Amino acid sequence: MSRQLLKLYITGRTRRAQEAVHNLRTLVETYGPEMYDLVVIDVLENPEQAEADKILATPTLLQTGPYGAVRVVGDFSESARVMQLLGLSTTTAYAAGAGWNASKSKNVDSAEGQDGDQG
Amino acid sequence: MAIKGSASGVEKVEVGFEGFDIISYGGIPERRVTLVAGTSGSAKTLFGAQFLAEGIKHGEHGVFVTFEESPEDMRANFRSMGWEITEWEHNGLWSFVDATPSTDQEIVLSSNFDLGGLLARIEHAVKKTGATRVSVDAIGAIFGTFGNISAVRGELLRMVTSLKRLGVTSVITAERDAEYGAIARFGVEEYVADNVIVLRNVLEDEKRRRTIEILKFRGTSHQKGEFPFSIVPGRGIVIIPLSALELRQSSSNVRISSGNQQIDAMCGGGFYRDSIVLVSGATGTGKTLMTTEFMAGGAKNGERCLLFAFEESREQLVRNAIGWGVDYNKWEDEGKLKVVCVYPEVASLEDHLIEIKDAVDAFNPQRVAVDSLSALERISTAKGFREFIISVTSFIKHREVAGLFTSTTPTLTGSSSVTETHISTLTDSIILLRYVEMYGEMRRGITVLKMRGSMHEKQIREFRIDASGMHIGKAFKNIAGILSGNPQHVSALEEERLKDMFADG
Repeated sequence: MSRQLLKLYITGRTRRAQEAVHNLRTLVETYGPEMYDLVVIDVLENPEQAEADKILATPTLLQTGPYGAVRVVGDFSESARVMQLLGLSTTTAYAAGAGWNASKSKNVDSAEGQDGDQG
Repeated sequence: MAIKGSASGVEKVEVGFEGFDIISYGGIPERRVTLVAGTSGSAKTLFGAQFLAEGIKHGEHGVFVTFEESPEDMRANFRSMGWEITEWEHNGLWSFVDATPSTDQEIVLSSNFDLGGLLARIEHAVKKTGATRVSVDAIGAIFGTFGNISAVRGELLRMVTSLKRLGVTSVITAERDAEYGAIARFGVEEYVADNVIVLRNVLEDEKRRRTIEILKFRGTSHQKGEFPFSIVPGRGIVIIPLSALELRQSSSNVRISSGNQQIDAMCGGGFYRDSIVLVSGATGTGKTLMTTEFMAGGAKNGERCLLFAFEESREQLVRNAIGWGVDYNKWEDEGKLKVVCVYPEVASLEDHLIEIKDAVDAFNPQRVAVDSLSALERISTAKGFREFIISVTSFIKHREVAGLFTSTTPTLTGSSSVTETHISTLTDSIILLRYVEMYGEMRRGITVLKMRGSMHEKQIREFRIDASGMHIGKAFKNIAGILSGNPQHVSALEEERLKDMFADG
């Protein structure tokens, strides 16, 4: 199973940024270390990359999946919602990306098809 | 680029739009943020883009932060203005920060975010290009993307602070809901309220009229009120500063011929070289003939003459002129005359004004005639027309050329026109042409009503028109009430009696 890239854009070493990094890293490392690679990008150090990804708000989590990209803005303190969006479960690890696509109602059908392939 | 603001510590940056630097007394405040608010379609984006484009022409680089129109669209759309944005980007003079909404699914989990990404990108673009000008267009869009209005508002304040810290001069545009009402949506003006410019696109009597108003410049002065502007391909926003055209011209004592010796005599020796003459009369009284003689009189003396005709086609004009013994084509071939025929309805009044100014600048005439001003009246509102009259007379006076305008009165006998009401105080001379009904016969009368700085004849004379032009005859005797349109025969005895009365008094 291929691992997916999660890009987390933050601005500087502010408390908000550090909290967002901490929250997201904990969730990913606890429930889906084999599903995602989390990369933290500071827009102050890499403005060109922020420009390329058209980042406006920080923290923004950007995941480029097979069904288009999804951006999540916030500090990721709402664990349950973040886990749902990332398809993470406390018991079973779903196939990567399933949770993302399930949350996009228009892509539900194709998402299920993808699940079948990967499962 | 910065020039000293009037009697204050605020320096200004010349924006470079035609007319703007006049109404703003030298441009927008330097190193500050100016809010440009307007309804949809009021040329906000153009304002922002032109602010950068004019800067580039003067060696200042710019960053355009776009929330609404994609950079691809802007590059294509502004090519009609002659701005090669792609080339400027390639040369590092212009840089886009594309803040248009992405097609990605966007989920905002909480209000615990900032616009750090945007600010970092703007700062990076400014440093990369060495920009001194930044345009942000249009700020309202970001409220829709992130929903949380109070959080976004706080972030915009940070953006403004950050732009000031970068030391750039910025223009931020914001959408308004109505032409007259709250300055901008979402109350953004509270954060960038130091300097506010309002663009309007008002529908008045079924006619669109664009205006610009500088609402406030904190700590420095500017002209008050709305000024009309037009969008001209290749030039962008062209503002028409009305009162800004001050009467600073010197007065000349040199007389020029009206093209008709008898009229010259009535005026005490001809018109002054830098004066404006208004010829008023009903249709068919001989206004176009006077215009023709005025043009011919100039061309014969080797002066360059420019004629704007708004009532007749070129063919008609040339034919009429030949009927009076004047060959327009010959003068044009010799480069002494230029005839510009325009149908009033083809453009807005502002566009006509710009066209007149351009033609005068290009031809550099010593004489200008407009036949007739009244034809332009029907394409405008009363207010717009008044502004036009003021503007065109001020412009021509400013150039120190002789001008002759005609104005058509609405009724055949007597009366005055709106044109006269607006223009009479601006003109140096007024000549009235009137029909006079006498004993069941229509005759024509001419009188010089006003001749600034000179004596002139006070009589109302009869004139006739034939193949060689206008011929002034004797004064109407024993007739009263010609100008009011009610000519009445006065007996010779009555006249004698009145004369005696005034002589005694």
